[in-house]
Amino acid sequence: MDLTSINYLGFITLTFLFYRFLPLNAKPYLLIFSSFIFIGTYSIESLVFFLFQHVLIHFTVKKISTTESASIRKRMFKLGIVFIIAFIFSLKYIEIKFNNTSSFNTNKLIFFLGISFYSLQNISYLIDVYYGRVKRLSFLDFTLFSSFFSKFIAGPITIIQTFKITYIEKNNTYLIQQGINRIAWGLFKKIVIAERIAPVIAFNFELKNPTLGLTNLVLAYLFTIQLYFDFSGYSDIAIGTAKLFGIDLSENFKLSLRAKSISEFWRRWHISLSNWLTNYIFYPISYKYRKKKYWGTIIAIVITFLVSGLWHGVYLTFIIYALLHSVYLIVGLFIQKPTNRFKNRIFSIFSIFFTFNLVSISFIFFRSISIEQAFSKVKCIFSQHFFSNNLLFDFTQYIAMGGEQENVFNLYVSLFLISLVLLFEDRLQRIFNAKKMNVIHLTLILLTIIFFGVFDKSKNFIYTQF
Amino acid sequence: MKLYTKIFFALIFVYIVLLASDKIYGFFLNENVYLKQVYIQKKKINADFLILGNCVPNKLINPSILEKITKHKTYNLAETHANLTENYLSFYVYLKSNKAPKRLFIYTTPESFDPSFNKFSSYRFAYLMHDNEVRKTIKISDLNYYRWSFIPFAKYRYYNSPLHYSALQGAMHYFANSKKRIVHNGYLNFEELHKYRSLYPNGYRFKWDNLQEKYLIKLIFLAKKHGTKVILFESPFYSRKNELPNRNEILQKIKQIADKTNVLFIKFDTLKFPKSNFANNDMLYTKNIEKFNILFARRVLL
Amino acid sequence: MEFQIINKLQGIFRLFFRDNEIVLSNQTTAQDIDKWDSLIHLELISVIEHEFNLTFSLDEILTIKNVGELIQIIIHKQV
Repeated sequence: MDLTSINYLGFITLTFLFYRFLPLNAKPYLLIFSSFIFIGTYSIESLVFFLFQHVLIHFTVKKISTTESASIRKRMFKLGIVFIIAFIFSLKYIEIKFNNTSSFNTNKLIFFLGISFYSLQNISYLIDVYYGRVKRLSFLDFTLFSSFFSKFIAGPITIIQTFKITYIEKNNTYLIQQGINRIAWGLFKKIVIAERIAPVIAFNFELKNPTLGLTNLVLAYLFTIQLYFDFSGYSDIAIGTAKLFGIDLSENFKLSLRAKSISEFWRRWHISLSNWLTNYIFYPISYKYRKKKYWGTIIAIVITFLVSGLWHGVYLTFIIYALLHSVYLIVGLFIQKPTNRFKNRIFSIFSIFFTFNLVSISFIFFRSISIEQAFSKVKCIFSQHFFSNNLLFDFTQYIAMGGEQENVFNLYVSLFLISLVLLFEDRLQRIFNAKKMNVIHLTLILLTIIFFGVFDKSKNFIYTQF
Repeated sequence: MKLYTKIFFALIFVYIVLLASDKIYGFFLNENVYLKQVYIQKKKINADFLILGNCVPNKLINPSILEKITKHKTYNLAETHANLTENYLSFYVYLKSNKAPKRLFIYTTPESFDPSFNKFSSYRFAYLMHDNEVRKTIKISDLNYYRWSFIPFAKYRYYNSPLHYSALQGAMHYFANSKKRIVHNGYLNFEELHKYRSLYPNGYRFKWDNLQEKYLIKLIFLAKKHGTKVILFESPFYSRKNELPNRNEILQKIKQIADKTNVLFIKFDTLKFPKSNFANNDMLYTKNIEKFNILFARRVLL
Repeated sequence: MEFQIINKLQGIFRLFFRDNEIVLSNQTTAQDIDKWDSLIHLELISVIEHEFNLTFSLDEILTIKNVGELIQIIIHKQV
């Protein structure tokens, strides 16, 4: 069930209605039941995989928190961690075996949905219980926490401390109103912005001969924009849905494309993953090596990004993507202090644009299906074939997916919508994160979705395969 | 509750907007004579020779050259990416307001039966969905679209289709009486590729869609019923040796259909144009198109 | 005691971030100071450890939420 599908809307409406009328102690069971149905509709295998890991982790944690013996605790802890990591990597291995040509074929990967996201949550749960930061959950709470459907497929990755349910009173419906606002905003981002440019990127990345540097650069920009609106829209829907049931999930994106530096970018982009990596990989490593000053930080950065790259997929392209970001951050560390002096508007805009470029270049590696493809695209951007005299023929018709007037018109509509949303994103976000529903705003966004959205092809959500 | 009343009225408002848009789009699309479906209805072509197919004949068969030799009025009704089911429906729409042509040329090549190359573009018939036969065909070819079409305006939106543009263009035609880019014989001039590009990955095996076969036969019978002589044809073709292992097998299958329905199947791949004449596997460079059209006209007159 | 520590911390922060406008309070968090991100968090902690002559455990570093909590830990360690 895709989060932008009609089925999903029906599914949450139905669950919501039951949820409102059931007695308090039955509510968690309903949510678990719905979540199992949700996971099961993707494939029975994912449900089986989920339950297998779930039960195993539950009993490992139980053992850890009930045993007095330090050595058994330690052994159980290590066993649990090794098991989850082995689990992630065997899935990634099966994924490669299933489709070894393309890392962007989501069709076969439905099988592995959400398991990677969910495994990270289990690792943090194990660590936190082991170090006594949180108490062990009951089987019911733990099941609800890990299976809750809106975050199961692609996060936000939630840690136990932040996951709690507020039971909504009859007269206090602000969470529900906020939830509906968020879902509408997420649908808009995904259906109108991301889906409109998705086919352009899919089409152009498959072309063997990149023609112009300009085409490839714009393509990289568009992919960054697509990925951002796709994933953040998805997160909005997940967060909005959770609010309907009184659950507060953590924010995943904060105006990510307005970052002025790469380190700021990672505080705004896929925040739940960045936080997870910071707390469970980066801090422990840099703590260990902190006597080495800068070197400690550098080692920690590289290892953290390599882990993140490997988690995304066991492909060389992800490794390069990870190394590229490590280099960005390390260089950023050294130039951060000298650039502190500049604090004017022009410099901010320049920094935002520069950061956007760095990110876009790195995403070429993220998106490409092979290392050769990625390098040929990057090389093309920096070659002398950047411009052409016949832009309509060499540039526009690739980006518009056809040289007909209607294609070009469609492209202009997309570009207009994108720039509008990027320019006024903060204001729009405030409107659709409000605790009160504004019927006029909702009507307008609904009409925009109907008039400019894409409805026939929303199955390829980029982030579900990780 | 106040909020629920507001939501209720908002939904009513959205519904009314959709209903109105549905009518407006339908009206303006019907005024857009740049669209072939509209043009053939409004302008009463009554051509002697009619060409059907996908983008290849659309760009390859130039009626103005043919007419000079054959002295028969010709119209190119081929549409980009159209499969045979769509060809059938186009012909059906054509017959509704035109005299049946003397001869009907249908482009049939292995690509025509392969769903990865051609498809049924339901949106091209969006404003004709009040017609029973159109509805029936769309239901078979594109069930999802058919289901959505019951919601007002959805039939203009279900695909990320170019219908916004077409409706605007129709409005221009209606208000400004603009005649820009109207193609009277259905033939489009186009910009060509600089360098030969193969369309197929090496060793590509053509797929066969039974529905296309069914509709090709249906199309042939529809034409015969109106006394039209049907000729199947394919374009000149270039491919490296063993590049397409099952191409000949598929061509054989097409020949069988032609024999079964008792129509002619003209193959042009025997002409052996050299590779330098081709922009891709089945498309000639502009300068060679004239040469081909003359050849085509002579074959047709036989 | 608390006042002394916060003053000393403020000096450290100003030197570390090369920003003389930083004013610390108990409620100050990493979000309030532009350049205070996770990359240099541990470097900052090292400097603080050095200046106060103490060491934090990893758990303490992970759980500090604001300057107030940092000060409490420092007081606790100095006693």
